[in-house]
Amino acid sequence: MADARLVAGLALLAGLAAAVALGPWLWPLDPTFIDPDPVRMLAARNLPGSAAHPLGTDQLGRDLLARLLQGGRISLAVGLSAMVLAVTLGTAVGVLAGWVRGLDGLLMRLTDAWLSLPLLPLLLVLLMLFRDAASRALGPEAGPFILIVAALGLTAWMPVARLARAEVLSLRERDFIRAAQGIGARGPRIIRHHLLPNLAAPVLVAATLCVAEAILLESVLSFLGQGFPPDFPTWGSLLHEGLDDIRSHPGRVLWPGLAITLTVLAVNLLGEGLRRQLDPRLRDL
Amino acid sequence: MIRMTALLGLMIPVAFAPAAHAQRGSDGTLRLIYHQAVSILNPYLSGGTKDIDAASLMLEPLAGFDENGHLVPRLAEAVPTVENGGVAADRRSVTWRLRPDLRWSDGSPVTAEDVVFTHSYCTHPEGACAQLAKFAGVTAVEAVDPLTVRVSFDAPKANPWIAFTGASAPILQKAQFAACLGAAAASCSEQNFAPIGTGPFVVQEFRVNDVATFAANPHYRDPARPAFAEVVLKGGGDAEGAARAVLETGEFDYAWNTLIPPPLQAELTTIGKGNFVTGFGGLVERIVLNLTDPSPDLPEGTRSTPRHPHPILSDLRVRRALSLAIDRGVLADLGYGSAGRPVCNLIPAPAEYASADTSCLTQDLAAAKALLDQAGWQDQDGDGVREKDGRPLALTFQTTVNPIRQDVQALVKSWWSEIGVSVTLRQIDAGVFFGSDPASPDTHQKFYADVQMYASEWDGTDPEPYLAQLTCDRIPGPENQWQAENIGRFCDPAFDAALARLQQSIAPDERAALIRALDTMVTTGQMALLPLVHRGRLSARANSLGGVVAGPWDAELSRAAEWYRIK
Amino acid sequence: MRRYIARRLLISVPTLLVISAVVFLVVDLAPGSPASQIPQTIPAEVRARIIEQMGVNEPALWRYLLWLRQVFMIEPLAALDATFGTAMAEGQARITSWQSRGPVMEVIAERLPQTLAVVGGGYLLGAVLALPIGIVAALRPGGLWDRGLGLVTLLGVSLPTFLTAALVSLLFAARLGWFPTAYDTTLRVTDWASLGQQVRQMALPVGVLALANAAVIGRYLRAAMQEVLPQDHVRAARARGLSEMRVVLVHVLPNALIPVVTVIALGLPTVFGGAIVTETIFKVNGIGAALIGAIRASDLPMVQTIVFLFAVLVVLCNLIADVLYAALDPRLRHG
Repeated sequence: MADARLVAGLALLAGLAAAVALGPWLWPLDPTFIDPDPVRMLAARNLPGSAAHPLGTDQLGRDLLARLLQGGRISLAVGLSAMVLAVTLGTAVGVLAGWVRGLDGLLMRLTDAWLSLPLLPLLLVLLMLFRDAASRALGPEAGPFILIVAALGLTAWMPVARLARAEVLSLRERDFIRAAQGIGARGPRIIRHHLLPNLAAPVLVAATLCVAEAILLESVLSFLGQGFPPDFPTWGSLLHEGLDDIRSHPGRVLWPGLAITLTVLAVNLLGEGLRRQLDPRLRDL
Repeated sequence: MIRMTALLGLMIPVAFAPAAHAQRGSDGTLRLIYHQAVSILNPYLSGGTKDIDAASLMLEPLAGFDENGHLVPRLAEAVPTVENGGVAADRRSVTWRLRPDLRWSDGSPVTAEDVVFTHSYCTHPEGACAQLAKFAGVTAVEAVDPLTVRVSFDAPKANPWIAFTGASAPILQKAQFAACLGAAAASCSEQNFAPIGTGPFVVQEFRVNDVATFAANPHYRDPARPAFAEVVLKGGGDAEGAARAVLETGEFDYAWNTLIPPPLQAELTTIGKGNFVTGFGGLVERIVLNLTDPSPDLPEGTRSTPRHPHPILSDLRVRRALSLAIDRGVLADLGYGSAGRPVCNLIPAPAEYASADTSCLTQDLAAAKALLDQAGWQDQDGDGVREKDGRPLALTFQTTVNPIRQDVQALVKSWWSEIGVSVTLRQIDAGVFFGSDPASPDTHQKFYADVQMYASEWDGTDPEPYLAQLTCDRIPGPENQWQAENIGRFCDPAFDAALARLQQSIAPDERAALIRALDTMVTTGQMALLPLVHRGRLSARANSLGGVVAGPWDAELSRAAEWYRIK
Repeated sequence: MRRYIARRLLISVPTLLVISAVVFLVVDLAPGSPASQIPQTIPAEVRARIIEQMGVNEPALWRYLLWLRQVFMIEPLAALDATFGTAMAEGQARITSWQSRGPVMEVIAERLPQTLAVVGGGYLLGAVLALPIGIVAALRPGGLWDRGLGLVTLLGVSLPTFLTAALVSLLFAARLGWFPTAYDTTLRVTDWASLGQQVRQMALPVGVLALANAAVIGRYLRAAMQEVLPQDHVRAARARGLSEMRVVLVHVLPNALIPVVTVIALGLPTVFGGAIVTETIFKVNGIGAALIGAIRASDLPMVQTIVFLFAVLVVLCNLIADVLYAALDPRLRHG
C-alpha cells in the first residue's frame, strides 16, 4: 500500500509538473494576447471549448488553457520556493535548538510565539503592506512573487523546527554520536555528517506538507484578493476571477480548482507514501 | 458596434402602473439589499452613498432633487424663487417656509429652530462635518418665526439653494442632537445610529455593517403613506449576488449599485422577474494625462510638479493621438453595458451643461499615427515603439484594482501599442489610491505615473465648484501636502479667466454657455482630460415594486414613501 | 499540575503583550487610509478635518498606548457594565471604528454569535463525523473501507475550503434553491418554523466546514488508532475475550483520543481563520467578514482589535491543549 501511494503521488506530481513546464512548447498560445482589433476581440470573448481553445476563452479573449498552464508554473514555483525557505529556516532553528543547549529555551519560545500569531489575518495585512513596495523595488513580476514566497515560508517553518529539534534531541543520545564525539569530531562536523542525513527522512515528509500548505494558502490569499496582482495568472487568482462568472462559466472555477486539488493531493499522497516507506515508526505530524 | 442598450436600462417611469390606493402599511415588507453595508445613519458624519441612502428613509431636507435635477419641496412648503420672493432680489439671502403641522417621529413639532440647529451642528468649529461644503458662504441662519428660516450669504449667490437640499443635508432634531455638537458628534452613537426624522420610516434595529430594519413612521405627514409597513435593508456580499437576489431568486425587491458585466446584465433581464433602473448623473470615467514629469530620477518634492513639464505629454499632438486611438464605444459596451455611454464631455449632465461635441467618439488609428509622425516620434529601430531624441515613447498607466478597469486598461494598452506607444500597467488598491495620504507615493493626487484612470463627479446639480478644481492654484504639490484636486496639473490662464466670469454670473443661459465652454477647453481643446464613459447608476428592481423613479441627483431611497407593491 | 497551569498563564501575559505590539505595528504600517472611504465629492479641506478628528494623524506610539489601555482596562470594564448594568467605564473613550464611529467591541459582540454558531457547529459536527472514520480504521485495519476512507480524507484535506464552499453554494443554493443564498442575522428563533429556517440557513456553511474538519481530524484519528492498536493492553483486552467493538471503543479509542484532542484544541485558531473564507462566501455576518471589511476600508482600530482577539484565542487554545495533554495522559501528570 505504501508503495502504491508513493508511486501514485510521484506520478501525479511529475505529470502535473511536466505539463506545466513543457506547456509553452506543447501549447504555444500566448496567455496574455488580446486582439487589438476590437471587432475580432469582441468575437473572441467568452468562447466555449473548441479545438482552437480547449478550455475556451475569458472575457477578453485570452486562451484559458494557456493561462492555466502559466498559472501552474507560478503556483508550483511558489509552493516549491516557499517550502525550500521554510525547510531551510526550520531545520536550522531546530538543529540549533536541539544541539546547543543554551539556545534551546530561547529558540523554542520564539517558535511558540511565532506559532501563536494568527496566520491568515496577519498574512493578509502583510501582503497589503508590502506589495506595492516590493513591486517597485523588484519589478512588477518578481516583487509579488518574492514577497509571497517570503510570507509563506516565514509562516511555515515552525512545525519543521519542532520536528527537527525532537529528532536531534533523540539522536544526540545515540551511541554513534557519542562515538563521533569521542574521537574528537566537533559540532559542525557532527551536524553535517551525522545529524543532517538522519534528519533527511522526517524533514522530507514535513517538506511535502509544506508544499501542500503553501499552494493552498496562496490560492486562499488570491481568493481574498491579496495575492498576486490581477494580470498575473496563478491558479488562485484564476479562481478568484472565475468566481464572478461561476454561474455562466463554471469551467473557469472548476479547471483551476481541479488543478489545485490534484496538485495538493499528489503532494499529500507523496508525503504519506514517503512516511510509510521511510520509517514506519515515525509518529504523526 | 454592438449596443446592448436596446432592451436594458431604459429609465422606465413606473407611473404607467396603476397607483394603488394603498393604506399605510398595507403592502408588507420592503426588502432592500446593498452590497456595501451601511455603517452609520448620520449623513453629516459620512459621505458614503450607502449611508446617505439609508438615512434618507428617515431624515428629510427642505427640498430634494427630481430625476431631472430640479428641486422639489419636502419639508418646505415651496421652493423659494426670486419670483415668489423666497430669494432676495440681491440674491444674498433665501427664505424657506416650513409646511405647517410637521412632526418628528417622536410626535414633537418641527420648527425653524431645528433648521438653525442643523446649521450650527455642521459648521461647528471643532466638528468635522462631511457636508461642510453645502454651507460654504453661509453667514447666518435665523429663525424668523417658528415656521420660517432665513439663510444669509456673504455674496450674491447664483445657487442660493445649496444649503439644506438633497439627502446629504437633511434637518436634524435639535432636542435629540443637542449634546452632540463639535467634537462630541462622532461619539454620539445612540443618535448616529437611530436619528429621529420626519421621513416615512423609523429605524427599529441597526446592526453596523450588517442590516437595518425600519417600521412605518406613525407621524408621517401623508396618512396614506408609506405603503410598506416595514423595511429591511440588508448589507454585504457583492454586486452580482445582490443582482441575482432581486432578478433571479426574488429574495429582495431592490438592489443598489449592481454594476455587473454586460453579458450578465442581459442574462438576468431575460429571466423576467425584474429589470435594471439607471440614472445618469455627473459620473464620468476618465483618463487623466500628467502634464508634469513624474520621473523617479527627479528629486523628491519636484516630481509631478509644474517645475518639470512632461517630456512627452506636453505636446498637444501626442495627447490628441492618444485620444484618437481609443474606441470609447467598445469600452462602454465591454465594461458597463446599460450603465455606461461613451462620452466626450467632462460635464455630461444636466442636459443644459453638456456640450454637443461627439468628435472624440470615432476611433481613428491612422490619424493617430500620422499625428505622432508629425510630432517627431518615429520608430527607428523597428521594435514597434516610437522614439524621439533617444527617448522611447513609453508611458506608465495606473488605476485601481477593479476587474472592469483592468479590462479597460488591457484594451487601451493594446490600442496604444498599435500606434507605437509602449505601455506599462499598474494597479493600486483603491484604499491607497484614494487615500490622500501625503506619505504614500501611490495616491492619485501624487500622480507618480504618466497616465491614470478613475471616475469622479460632483455633489448636486451645479458643476461650478467642480470646474473650479481645475485652476492653476489647485495643483497638488508639497506646499499643500498634495491635498488639492487639479490632478492632471492643467493650467490655462484662459480657463481661469472664464471660470472667474462664471463665478460672477447669475443668468442661467450665460452660466450654461460658460460651463460648456470651460468643458470644451479642458477636453477637446487641450486634451488634458480624456473622458471615456459616462457612467450611470445601475440598480435592480423587482417587477412587483412600483413607484420607483430612478434619478441620479438625489439618494435612491429618498422617495421610498411613494413606493408600493404592484399586485 | 496547578503550578504548571499557573506558570503557563504567567508566560502568556508577556507573550500577549509582545503579540499585541507586533499586531498593532504591522497593521499600522499598512498602506491605505480611511480617507479613501470618504467620497471624492467632499472637498479636500473637509476630508482633512474628518481624518484629523478620527485621530488618524496621531503618532503611532501614542495610539498604541491608548489602544493598550483600552483593550486591557476600558473594554473589560465596559463588558462588565453590559453584563451587570454597572457604570464603571462610563465616559471613557472606547476603541472606535473609523467606519461607523461606534465602539468596535459592540460590533464584535453583535457578530460573535454568528461566528461561534457556524464555526463552532462546523467543528463539533466535524469531530463527531470523524469518529466513525477512526473506528472503522481500528476495526478493519487495511481493509477496503479503511483504505477507501483514507483516500477520501486525503482528498478532503487537499480540496481548498473556499472551492467546495463556492461549488456547494452554487449547486444547492443557487441552482436547486434548497437553501437561502444570504444569511439573515436578524432571524430570531421563536418557534419551530423559525428554528427550521435557522437550521436551513446554517446548513450549508456548517456542512462545508464539518466535512473539511472531519477530513483533517479523521486523518489524525486514523493514524492515532493505528498506533494504539498493536500495544500490549489492547492485546490483553482481546485475549480476555472481549468483543472487537468493545475493545476498540473502550481500550483503543480513549488512548487514541489523547493526541487527537490536543490536535483539535491546537486547530481551533486555524478554524477561526477558515471562518473568514466561509463567511465571505455564505455571507454570514460574523467576525471574519468584519475583518475583511475592515481591511478593505483601512479601518485600523477594528483590524487591530480583531487580529489581537484572534491572537488571544490562539494563545488560549495552546494553553488548553497543553493542559489537556497533561491532564489526559497519566504518564505526563507528574511532570
